[in-house]
Amino acid sequence: MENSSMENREELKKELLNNLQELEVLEQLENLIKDNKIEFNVNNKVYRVRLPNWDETETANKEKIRKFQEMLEAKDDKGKPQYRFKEYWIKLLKLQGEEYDIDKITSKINMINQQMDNLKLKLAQTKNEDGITNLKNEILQMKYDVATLSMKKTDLMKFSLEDQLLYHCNSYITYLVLEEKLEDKWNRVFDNYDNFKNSQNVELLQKALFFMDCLIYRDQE
Amino acid sequence: MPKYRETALRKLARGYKWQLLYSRAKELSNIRLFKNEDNFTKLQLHFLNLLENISSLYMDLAMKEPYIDESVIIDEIRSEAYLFYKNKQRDNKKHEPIRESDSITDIPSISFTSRNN
Repeated sequence: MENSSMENREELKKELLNNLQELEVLEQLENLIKDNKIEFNVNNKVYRVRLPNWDETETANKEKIRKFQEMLEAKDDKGKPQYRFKEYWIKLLKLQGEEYDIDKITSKINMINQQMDNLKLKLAQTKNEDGITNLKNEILQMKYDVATLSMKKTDLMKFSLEDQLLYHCNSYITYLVLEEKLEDKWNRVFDNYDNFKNSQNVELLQKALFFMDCLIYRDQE
Repeated sequence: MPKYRETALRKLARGYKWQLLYSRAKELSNIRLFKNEDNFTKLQLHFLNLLENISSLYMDLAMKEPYIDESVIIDEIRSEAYLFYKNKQRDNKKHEPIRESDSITDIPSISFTSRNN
């Protein structure tokens, strides 16, 4: 009797802890969506990132053009272009085998998405529990497969000029909008981009880049 | 086998508080969902999309549409399937012919009735 009441108490404690953790996550999420600025703490200091204003967007655009030109002109030790477009990488990867063929990976993703659409139509119209569970499991597996293939594609293409340029632009915008709260005023953290890049405060940079990704919407998404 | 788990953002959007705020914000101009009135972030746009989708699910439930019940709304995958099915139905209706046209003139048929009838 005593054992079972102890077990019940333990279970209730676990459930309460889970609920509290869940509430904390939801509260943190609300903080992320309530404004177009996100505040966060690093080493007891308050920082924030926000969407760039018009001036900052113009500055970031000029930097993008400058960096693009720099990447086009960059040469390696053998005098060959240091950065290559996606098209070049796709052709090169094709020679490595079917597993690295970007076009084939894309076709596979499209095929799985089409199959998923058919299953979704079936699932929407299914009422029996077993049918629902089986279809859900199939769809879940397909979503996992699509995510895995998409991540593989992203990984293989990350050294392309386009992706490297995008990474640089995101990082530059983060430098422009990263601010620290000092006596109720918000001030830019870094005077210039080199100081931002060379900062030893890895936690600050990682959090800033992560939260910037929550803020900026890109057309290709 | 990957395990199903509803995303936290969807759970937030499905909650009573945000559904109520969303429906009231549509009716009353002095209720704002966010601190900013423009320049919405990626997360805010995604959240708005979730609010809209879930709100439309509840409306369909209230109107007793087929294939929808509470268990569908709670389940992210089933909701996605239902919304996809609904969009398909809507697309299929768009391609249906509206009405037959007159065989000689291509003008849609009109029936004239006299006042005496």
